[in-house]
Amino acid sequence: MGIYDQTIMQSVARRSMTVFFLVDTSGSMDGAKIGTLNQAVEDTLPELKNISSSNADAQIKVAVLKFDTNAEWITPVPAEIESFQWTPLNAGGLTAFGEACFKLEQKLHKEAFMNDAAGCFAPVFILLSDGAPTDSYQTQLDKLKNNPWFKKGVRVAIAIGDDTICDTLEDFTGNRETVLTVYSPEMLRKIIRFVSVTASQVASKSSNVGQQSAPDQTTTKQQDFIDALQQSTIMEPADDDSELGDIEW
Amino acid sequence: MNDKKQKLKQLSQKLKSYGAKHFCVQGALHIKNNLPCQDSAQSCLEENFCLAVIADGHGSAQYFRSDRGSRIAVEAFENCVKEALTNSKYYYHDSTHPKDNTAINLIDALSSSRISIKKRNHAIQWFCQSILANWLIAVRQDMQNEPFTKEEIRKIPEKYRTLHEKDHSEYTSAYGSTLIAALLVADFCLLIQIGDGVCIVFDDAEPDASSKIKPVHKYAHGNLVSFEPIPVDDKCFLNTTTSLCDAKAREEFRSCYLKKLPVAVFVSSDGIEDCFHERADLHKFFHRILFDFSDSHEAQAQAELQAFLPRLSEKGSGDDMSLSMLYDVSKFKELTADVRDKQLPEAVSN
Repeated sequence: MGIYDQTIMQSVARRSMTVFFLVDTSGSMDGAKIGTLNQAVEDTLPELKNISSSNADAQIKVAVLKFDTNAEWITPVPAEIESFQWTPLNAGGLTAFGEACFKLEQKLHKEAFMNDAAGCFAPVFILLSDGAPTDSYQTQLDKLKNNPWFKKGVRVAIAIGDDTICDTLEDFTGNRETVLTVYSPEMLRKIIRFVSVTASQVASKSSNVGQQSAPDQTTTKQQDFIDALQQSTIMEPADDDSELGDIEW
Repeated sequence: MNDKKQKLKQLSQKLKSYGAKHFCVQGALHIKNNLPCQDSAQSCLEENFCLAVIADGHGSAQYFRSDRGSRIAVEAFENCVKEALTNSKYYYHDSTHPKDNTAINLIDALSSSRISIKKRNHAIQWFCQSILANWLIAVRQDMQNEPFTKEEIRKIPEKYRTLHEKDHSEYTSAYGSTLIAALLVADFCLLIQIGDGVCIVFDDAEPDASSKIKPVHKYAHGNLVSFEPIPVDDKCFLNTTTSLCDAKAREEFRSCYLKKLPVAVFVSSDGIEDCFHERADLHKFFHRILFDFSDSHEAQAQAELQAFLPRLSEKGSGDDMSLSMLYDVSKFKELTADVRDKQLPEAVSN
């Protein structure tokens, strides 16, 4: 062991990749929806921990922003997945989606959540919502869409039930393919797991280690995620419909 | 000997106290994925100049000869420096000022105290363009000497494939690479960069306000300061970088001119930069290297760093690592005399 191992190695770390959960906790989410969501995310954490520990390329971090009448960060800073514990969320109030976009954009800077800048992978943004924004959100969403971290990240939205305004979610993700509508608790559980795991795998894989691309690059992590989504059967009806559960919302 | 030559000779004496070293190791993930090392590095000490340069070839499949591209980039820089500084017939032609002395030697253009900042920038721009031209000529020559194989042609993106079939010398992107270089001459230091990676300078003080240099990431280490003087390029973000193979590469060079020779200058690829979450730790690493090279026998220090870089890659970014450095050991020892037997000072953000 040399001099650098003693003095430098302790400050060396893997690159990090942050998964942002943006959770609609408005009144319409109350009951089975928020209960299922809480359970599903909690159940997914061990798998994310596995990805992080078995993947030499990236340390996975989690950040959670809930929004109802106001938007509020549950994690003051992105938490390492190994030590992260999901705090069950309660639902109630309006749907301040614009404020959520504003608060997210504020943190997507080197001076804020992205201070691991030198060693970051593009983040993952998972939006879960069941309704329509009740605030004037377009200006804040447009500003978020211009944020370079947001543009480079994997963006996916889970629309919970028929009442969701998918156009807003599509505006958020930038693609219709990455807005996934679920109609039952079982489907929500499956999709949360699939999206969290697949997006994390796509975003944290080492494809950009030594693979930086000139600006005219043709593939992005978002496209990689869409490809993974299209190759999966997750959105296809199961042979046994009961597996998806009855339509409950 | 005329006054000018005498002065240059005196100034060149300052370079004699410098050391130059370079390192280049294959990344842990490149070894795992059976990819070649796509970085290149070079450093050299000559009578009237010293240089340090690294290049980082792109890794996506479409940049399938980027290991050669980075090697050619390093050679292009070295060739252009030698051409500019050792060939008396080399002229920088200032076409923007026809009434002035229209043809002057590059060293005069850069070192003259009477020259305006605008004119100096023009000379640097000219020099960068000569590097780019040199790189493109060598890349096309390599393509002629060894045309793309069928397997390589399959890796060319569809939209460029037709063009390549028409003109076999056009798909230079296969060789895409970044470049960061430092040149010390007489009484100045020229730093140039295209693409990502990092250049860190150590000196007894940061550049004064009159230089109009606005370094990012400044840290104090006892009597030394370290800073990153080359302007940041927002286009280099996450896995996207500017490149010598870009259509607008000539506009994408960034540079910095320092009016005095620094204590040390490091240029390195993002493989090293990406190992440290805290910027201060990256600066501390280079500071540690300076300590090691000034404390130990040079060969021992070199062996120690060479052995450490693969371990750094394995624990950190996994990427290829290239590092090239120029350092004035005596000046470094002089400035760190009061802490030599103590623990290294912590890097403190300014």
